[in-house]
Amino acid sequence: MTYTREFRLLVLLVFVTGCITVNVYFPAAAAEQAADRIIKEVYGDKLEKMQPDTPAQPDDQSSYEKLPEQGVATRLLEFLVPSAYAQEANMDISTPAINKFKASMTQRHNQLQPFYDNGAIGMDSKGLITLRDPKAVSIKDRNTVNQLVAAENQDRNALYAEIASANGHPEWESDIRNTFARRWIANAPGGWFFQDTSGSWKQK
Amino acid sequence: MPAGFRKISHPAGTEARTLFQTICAVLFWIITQTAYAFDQLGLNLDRIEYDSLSADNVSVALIFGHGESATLRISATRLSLSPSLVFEQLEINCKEGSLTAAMLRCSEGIYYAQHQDHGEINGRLSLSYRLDGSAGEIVLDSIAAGDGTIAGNLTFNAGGWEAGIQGNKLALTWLRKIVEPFGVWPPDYSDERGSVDVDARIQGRHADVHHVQGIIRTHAISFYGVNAAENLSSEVSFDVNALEGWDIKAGGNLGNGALYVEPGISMGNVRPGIALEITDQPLRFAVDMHLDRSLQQVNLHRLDISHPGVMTARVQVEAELGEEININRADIALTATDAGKFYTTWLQPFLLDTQFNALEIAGALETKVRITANELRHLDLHFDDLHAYDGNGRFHIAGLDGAFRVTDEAIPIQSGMSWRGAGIYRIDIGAGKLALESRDQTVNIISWEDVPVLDGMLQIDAFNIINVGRNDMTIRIDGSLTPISMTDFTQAMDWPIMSGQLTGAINGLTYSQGNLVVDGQINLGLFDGNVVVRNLRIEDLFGLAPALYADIDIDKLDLELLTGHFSFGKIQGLISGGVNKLELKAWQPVYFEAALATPEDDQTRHRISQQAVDNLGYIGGGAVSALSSGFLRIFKEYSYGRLGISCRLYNGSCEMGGVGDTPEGFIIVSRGGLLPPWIEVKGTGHSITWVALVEGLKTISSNRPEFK
Repeated sequence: MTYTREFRLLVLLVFVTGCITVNVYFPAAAAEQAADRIIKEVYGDKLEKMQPDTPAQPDDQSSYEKLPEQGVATRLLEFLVPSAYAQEANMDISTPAINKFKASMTQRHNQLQPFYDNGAIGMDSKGLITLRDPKAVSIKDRNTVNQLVAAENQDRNALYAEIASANGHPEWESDIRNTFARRWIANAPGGWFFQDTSGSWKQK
Repeated sequence: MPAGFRKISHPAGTEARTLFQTICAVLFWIITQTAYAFDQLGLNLDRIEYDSLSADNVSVALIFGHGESATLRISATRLSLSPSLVFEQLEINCKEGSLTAAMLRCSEGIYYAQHQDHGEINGRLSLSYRLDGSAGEIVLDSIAAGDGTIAGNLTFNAGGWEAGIQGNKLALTWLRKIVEPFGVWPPDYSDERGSVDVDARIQGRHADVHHVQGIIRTHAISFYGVNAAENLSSEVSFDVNALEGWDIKAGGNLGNGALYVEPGISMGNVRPGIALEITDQPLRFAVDMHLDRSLQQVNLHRLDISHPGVMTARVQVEAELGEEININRADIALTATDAGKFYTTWLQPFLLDTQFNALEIAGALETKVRITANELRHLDLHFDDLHAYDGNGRFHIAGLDGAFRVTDEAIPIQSGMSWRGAGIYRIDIGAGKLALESRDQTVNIISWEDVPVLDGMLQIDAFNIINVGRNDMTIRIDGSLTPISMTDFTQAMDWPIMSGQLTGAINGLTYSQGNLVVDGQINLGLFDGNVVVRNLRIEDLFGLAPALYADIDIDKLDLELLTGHFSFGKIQGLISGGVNKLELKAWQPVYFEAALATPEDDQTRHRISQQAVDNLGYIGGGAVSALSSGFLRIFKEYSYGRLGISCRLYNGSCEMGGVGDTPEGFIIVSRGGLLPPWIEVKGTGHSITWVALVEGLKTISSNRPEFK
């Protein structure tokens, strides 16, 4: 009787593993955590003034969800099918290039901050920043701000591509960009401006 | 006998002039029919409407005097020129009027009106009108306009019309109130201050404007929007002819204040703008250009700019405008007496989305450029003590003098440059001098003085630049390096300090579109052995995070030479191996497969010092354990059989190995050699993070002097 049950379990297991196609979906929760770590480092002491973070949403895109019972079959399945879920906690954001972009953005942030504060600069829906109110910038600062914005956007574009590449999935770049776009806003202090998906400017 | 109309309506397309003509014709008919039976004639209209114009309770009265003289009175309770530009209690009195069969005249007329914002408006006017509608004129004398004055006139005849406006000290705030209702004031502009003088003449026919000519002077004006001005005083004259396309001539000066102007083009993701701050001498400009009617072709006959203390320029361009700009021909002649200010003011805004967006420049330069069919055909660039430093630390050059000339013609032209110092990243290149020759859009070096690189020398055998000014411009170099200190080189690259010297030949080095590739191999002489760098390529060399790829073969380095000058501790023997699939990102390794070991055929003496054994333990933060404790510590040197270490770096960790395996790890130094004491060094574990490994190496090099 016991052998029969184990045999059935084995057959079921072989059937299940034989039919499973492992699609590595974008690990949204891990990406949010990674984005938050980088953003908080870039914002620096602004952290103290931050509004409470929006809690990271559970990843509803993983190809594999934990089953209610952690039975033998489940554990075997986990062993045989290394799930994308395992990647959730391990999005690599420590490559030399990522560190370089992060350091560059952190260093630049002090120069950008007054222009975030007075509303001259806003966060767009593509994970970049833009000069939204030129009137708030004196003429002598216009090109400085233009330069800061251009350099920041170069770094951000390169950062999103590098994170995707460093984690072996260059095709994740747009997902990572979208994640960052949301988290830059979520982690920003009150009063800063952001663009919603319809393109309208709002003040946080 | 007054006549009355309830309302006059007009078929679409009827002009206001036709209405006025009709009224005059009716008046004249009545007058002629009555044979001057009346001494006064009146016409009352409840309301007149024409498009967005309307007038309520219009009254026109003629009081006849002697002969043809008459007094003309026109009044309306409300005159609306647009929904937001409404005058009330309008009244025009013409005491010196006259009416003949052909002409209505009014000289020394006076008009009054009330405006909600501007209060009472009054002034003098004169008008004349041929009753057949063929000609007319109205002249409005100067009246108060805010703190300034304004006057205007309009004449028309069969050939067209001409209007003039003369404004003096018109406040921008007042102008905004006047023009904003007509949608002329640009959106998102505010905080306007200061005043302007305007003297303009506009000519046209029907609804078309043919010619605009005039002069505008600004007095300390400020406004803020996409473009902006702060306390700007300037004078601009203009002459625009719009008969066949647009012929534009303009010129003037910016005398004082600041101005920010965006030309309205995009460079990458950036919309560049020119920020000018004028304090001492005025910036002068003159432009003469033609735009075709579809605005698709521009012929800039001449643009002259003189920015005192910064630069002078003359630009001539023929181009097709569209989604992409095609330059059929362009000639630019420019002298920058202050290259730093020229860069920050005129050049940097257009380079913000490139790798040259953060330069610090000093010195002077002069250039003449010819572009034909979007390609550089001739370049004549002269430098005078030019210094350029990249704010991101990627390159610099100091004391650049001479000229760089390029031609697309077959007859060669020569030029030459010298510099006092240069550098790429932190690799310093010393003073140099070279002579160049150009023809067929290619530049070759015809003579070269070897230049120092760090503490060695760079000898160039061949250097040429092909396709200069095109997207596929390529620089190709063949040469060699005489000994460079590895200490200086590794320090410059921010790598763990290594000692020794680096020499080698560099063949087939090409740089194109941001990427550097070495076709051949770089042969380096290091520590009496040979190092061959193969498949070297650097992507995005001056980019945000350059990526370097290479394979390195290492053959029989003398460990005594390697370690003898290095604080690691003395090791005798040879070592060979290689680093395959080396990949650096932002100059830091992210992947490689390295393996170094004593060659099988090594017949040299194999000895290792106690210090070296101890330091092997440092590598990897203690991941390696050595059997140099206990009684073996009384010896300073040990014999060994083979020495070897391997590391496969990926995901930030080094998967380590040696010359053999043990159950707990691997063997770095195996027992062997002729004379005791023998030693065996084992590593435990198989993996160490790259950060810990580098820290271990840095600890070794920082704790002790590098050279003995």
